[in-house]
Amino acid sequence: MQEGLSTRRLAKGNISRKPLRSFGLIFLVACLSALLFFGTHLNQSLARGLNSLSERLGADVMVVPAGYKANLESILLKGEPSTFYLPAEIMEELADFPGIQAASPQLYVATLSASCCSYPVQIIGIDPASDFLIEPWLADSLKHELPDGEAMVGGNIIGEAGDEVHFFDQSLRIAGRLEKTGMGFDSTVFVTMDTALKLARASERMGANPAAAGAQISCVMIKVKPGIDSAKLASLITEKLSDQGVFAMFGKRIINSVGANLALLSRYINVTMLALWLVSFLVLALAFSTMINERKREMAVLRVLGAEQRKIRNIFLYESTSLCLYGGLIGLLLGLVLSLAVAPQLSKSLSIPFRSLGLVENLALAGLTILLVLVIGPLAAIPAIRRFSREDPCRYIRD
Amino acid sequence: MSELKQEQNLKQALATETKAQEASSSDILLELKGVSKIYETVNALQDINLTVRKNEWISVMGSSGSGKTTLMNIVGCMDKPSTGAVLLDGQDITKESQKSLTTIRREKIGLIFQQFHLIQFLTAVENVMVAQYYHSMPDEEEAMAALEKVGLKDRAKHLPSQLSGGEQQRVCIARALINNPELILADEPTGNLDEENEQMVIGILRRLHDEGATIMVVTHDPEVGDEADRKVVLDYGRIKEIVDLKALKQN
Repeated sequence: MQEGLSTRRLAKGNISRKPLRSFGLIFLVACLSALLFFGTHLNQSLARGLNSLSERLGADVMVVPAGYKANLESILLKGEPSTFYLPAEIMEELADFPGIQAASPQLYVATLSASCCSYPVQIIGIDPASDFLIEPWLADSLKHELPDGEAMVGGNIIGEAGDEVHFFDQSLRIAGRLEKTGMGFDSTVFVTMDTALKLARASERMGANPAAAGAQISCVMIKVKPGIDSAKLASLITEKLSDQGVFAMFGKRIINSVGANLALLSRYINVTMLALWLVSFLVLALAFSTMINERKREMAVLRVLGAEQRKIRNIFLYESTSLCLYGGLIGLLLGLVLSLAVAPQLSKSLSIPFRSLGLVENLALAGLTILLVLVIGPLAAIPAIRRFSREDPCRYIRD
Repeated sequence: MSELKQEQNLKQALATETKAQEASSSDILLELKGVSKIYETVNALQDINLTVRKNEWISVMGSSGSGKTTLMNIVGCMDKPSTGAVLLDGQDITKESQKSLTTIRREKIGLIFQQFHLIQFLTAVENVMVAQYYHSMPDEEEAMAALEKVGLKDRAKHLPSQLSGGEQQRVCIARALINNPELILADEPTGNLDEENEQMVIGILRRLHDEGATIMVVTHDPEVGDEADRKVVLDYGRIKEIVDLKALKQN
């Protein structure tokens, strides 16, 4: 059936008349759209990863054995298993420091890639009574308190609720799965302190880890009272307890250092995106200008036949908007594939916290991308349209 | 001797023009009063005075550079004179803005071009409907009727590239007719056509004239020019003579 004559028909007719040029423009817009979607997705996922890191590492001060600062960072950021211990008495000594609002011990046990263990992961034992970091997060996925002998597993751990896993020949029932955080916690198994202690002892017996020598904790997470300088408190603890092999680190330091790296990466992504958008805007403007120049005589005929300036402008705008819409949609698909396939690999290879966007966020980002493409595309055509509008159209017929 | 003949012709032209001006003002569709057009140092038109009555067919002839296309552009609201007035249906179009000239072209004038100026990606019937679209509302039935009038109904769904020059010109004529314009302006309508198509186009114009259309044809082809009721001959931008062909034919 023949389509009725309209601005749309006139615009579409021109698009299909020059398939190569139209395909080129659609391809360019598709690249732009994909880049915008992918870049923003990457940036947002990194920001979410950092946010997640910040939420989970909300301790103002972290107390670890001297020399194990890097191990703790590796556990938290990358999920690289490690085992280290602190003298359990540290908890009592810390109680003497003023300015501490809450202190919660954690016990870290690294499992093995051997027959005794289901898989090599980091086990973190938490004390539900004092924990202020992990427990609220566990509560999102587990409606009751975590019992001994059960485990909450990170987003990357294999196994579903009700399954059994074995570590050092001890079996644990999976109580639930945590949502992905984009950090080391995704490869971590959370258990109670008692369960962790049992596992630590079992690992000692098997000679897998150093003997705990009565120790019951690996580190202490501290929350300071309002108005207390965390960095100063960390220095004070290190100074006073260094003879016991204790090192206290300012908790936000990890976040700050990761955050600084992410900000830099984010800036690179933004600058690259901006530069490419600028170049593409110019290329689009040039392409639309060529397209309009080519059609001056044709448009002049329409003007001579009585088309108002506004109607001619609408044809050009419809044309540029259609091209941008097609390109934008193709680009979105491309961007989505890139985001789902490449971005997580990129974050993995760069060892940075990464938390992919959910369906709603992806849809919102897709909508925003299309909107932006639909604004930028016609905007690039406007200078050429205005130039043409200022000219006397009859000139092209007279000449 | 030739100067004497030229003077006689001019006198005759003025007499004819005076007679035309004496016609009832309601009969007058187009009136040019002292129209001149100067392009930098070139006087393309000089002091043109001309009246075209309703239902009159007038041809404008002259050698290249005589100013006939300039005259057509001015009458077709595609150019403005340097001095003088052009009254179309009593309205001085030289004082109108570009926007209102667009409206006048759309409402009152049907244009036929030597180069056809068809939209290449639209079919013949769509090319006719374009003029309808900007005038009021596209009506395919009406457009088909216009194509039938020029003998192209069976080629309605063809693209311009699939039509011969003569067929393209006939589409152009159908497009010019579709909105029932008060004045049909044709610029060298047979300029790009062979003998057979030329005859066909002349036949269509004749029929339109018989049906009451007012036609102004710019041409250098004497055969086309002599079909008119009156022939205006331009020379170096001035009216050299106006020949009342209708009277001659009647005599």
